Amino acid sequence: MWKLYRQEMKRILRTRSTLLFLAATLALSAFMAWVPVTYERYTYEENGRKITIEGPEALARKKQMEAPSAGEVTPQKLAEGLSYYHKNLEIYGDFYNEDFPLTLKVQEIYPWRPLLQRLHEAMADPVSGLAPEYTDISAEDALAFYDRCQSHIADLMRMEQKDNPQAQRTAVRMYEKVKMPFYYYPGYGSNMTEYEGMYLFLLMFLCMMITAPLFCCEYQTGADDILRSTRHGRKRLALVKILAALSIGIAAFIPCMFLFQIISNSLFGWECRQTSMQILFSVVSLLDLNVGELQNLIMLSGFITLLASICFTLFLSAACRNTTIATGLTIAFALLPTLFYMLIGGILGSYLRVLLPSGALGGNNAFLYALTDFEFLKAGPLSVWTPWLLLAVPALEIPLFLWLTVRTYCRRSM
Amino acid sequence: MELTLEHVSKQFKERKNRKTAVDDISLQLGPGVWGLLGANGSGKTTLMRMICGIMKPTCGRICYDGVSIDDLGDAYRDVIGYLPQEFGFYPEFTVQQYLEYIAALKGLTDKQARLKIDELLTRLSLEEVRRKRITRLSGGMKRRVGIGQALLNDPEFLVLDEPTSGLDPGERVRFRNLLSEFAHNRIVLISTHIVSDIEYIATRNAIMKNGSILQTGSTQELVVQMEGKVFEAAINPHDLSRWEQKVQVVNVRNEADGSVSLRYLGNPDDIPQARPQEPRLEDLYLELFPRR
Repeated sequence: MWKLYRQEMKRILRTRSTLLFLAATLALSAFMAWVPVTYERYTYEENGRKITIEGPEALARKKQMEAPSAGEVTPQKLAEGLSYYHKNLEIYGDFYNEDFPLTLKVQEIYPWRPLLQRLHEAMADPVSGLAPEYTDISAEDALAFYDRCQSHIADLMRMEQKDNPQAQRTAVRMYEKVKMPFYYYPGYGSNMTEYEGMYLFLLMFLCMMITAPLFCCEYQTGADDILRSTRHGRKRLALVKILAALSIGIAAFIPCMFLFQIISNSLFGWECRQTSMQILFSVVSLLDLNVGELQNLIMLSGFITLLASICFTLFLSAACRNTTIATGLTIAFALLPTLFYMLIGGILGSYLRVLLPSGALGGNNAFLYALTDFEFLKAGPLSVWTPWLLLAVPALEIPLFLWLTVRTYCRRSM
Repeated sequence: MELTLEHVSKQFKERKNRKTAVDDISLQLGPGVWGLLGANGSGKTTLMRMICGIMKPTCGRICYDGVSIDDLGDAYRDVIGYLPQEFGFYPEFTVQQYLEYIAALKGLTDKQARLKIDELLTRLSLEEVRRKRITRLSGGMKRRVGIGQALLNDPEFLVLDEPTSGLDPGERVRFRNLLSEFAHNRIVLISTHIVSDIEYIATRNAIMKNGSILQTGSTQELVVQMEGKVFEAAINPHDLSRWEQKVQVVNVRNEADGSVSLRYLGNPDDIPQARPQEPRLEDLYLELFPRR
């Protein structure tokens, strides 16, 4: 078995397209980890001139600027930030007033913005869901921030899941487990986790492309007849091919994600991993996670999705008679969750994408967005939060598609 | 050592119809070279694939030494070597790497594989190209690599589907000699539509048409029925097309004196002054698969 596995690995790794795709996964991991830092901009005033800097330098200046809000998000800190807002809004009316000096914004408004945005969100009206003006939020409100968070999730779920009291209860129960106070460390933006999801999609796509020809190219070239007439050319070869495809997927995933995490966290600062998800995304995010744990959960989801997608692609490859059809279907199935989200949407679109092995990766349908959402899908008598389904369904599909692959390959030509 | 086919048939679904590719074939193959002769589309490849266990018969049974090949499973695949008509090489592999890969599939140990590959590369005159990518080899060399992979497990039963297609005459002769040498105490089944490939080396032949075996026997036994049916006559070259309309032409040869010698199947009085000829397998083939 291992000898055959070694030979199969050698064969796959000698293929030019495989090497090209593997090189692309590694190059893209560095590129995708670096891109978000290029979006960083910092504008300040010097001698009456507005100067904008970009990239790592802008990031460093921003971190410096937001330093007062770093660390534990205490109600006192929120109240202090709010007092600066109130003081300046009293003078200038709103933040977009042309007379509002940029230097003052940099000193008194922007440093508190990441925290006050969350306060603003938590203070939303319980019935309409609309957030009040900053001037309508009092220091007392700021001091009661964490209590407001608890009541806000209940209000929000009443609005989002009107007809699903079970989902409302589940969400509130989940939120009760979120540890408070929150923490914030400046630097890391939400687009960084979006890029992690996007990169995982590309990684999955490239691994699927490596996998797509594994069985069907043998049918296409006629090599299959020779393989099937050998002692180990059936079930064992099918298992070896599966093992080889999964090994390549895992071997691509580990170093690429390691490189991605090293680059992104080094660029944005390792301390940012302690920032609470509730400050980065939404104050009522249901999971008790900091950024580091969130990165790991996205990676776990990506890993399961990657394995499930590879298994599904192997099944397609075993079932298709040539590489063109298998590759075409692979591309289609990789994009289908995104298309379902965009074209069908709603509960039906969610069910369809959750059922697909690649459902957790893509555009707006990605796992990260599901984590920040409050969508519950009914599975029998249960209402299950979509991210749990996005983790569980592909995990269950891995053995299913492995079995189907072996069965399809062994029964072919019979 | 005997392969037995008992009422073997294979049908394929073609849209709404069922097409019979192999129709109720019963055959017993013993040691020696067996030639399976038939025109393209006569069902040879389907029969070969069933014999190799790649395809299951719709009905009937194939047994090796009295045991169904389905029941034998791995044990059967251990004793067969198969060279399909068209087969894909992996473009990234050299000759040696390809043979190592197939050796692993055939369950050879590293040591066995090394020794066998060295031996086969020498026997097949492929030593010099062992580190060359297969895609860069000539058609004949690729075919020899194909034969090499079929021989890796030292098979008791070798199945070759159109093994000489694409080979030049010299390579064909070399190939025939190699098979004759190898066939001692083994069953070698060669399917072909090129009569000369098997005429002189086949112990027995089976002639296949429209999925059925029409005749079996040694070359001598088969050609006996053609006695008195093969003639040669010298004709005027201008009359060639006229005679081609009237008789089944086997061969046309231009002579030094400007006339044309016509070998044909028919009666002595079809063409004036026709002389009887010793029949060959090719004559029988043309009788069974007429060109007209």
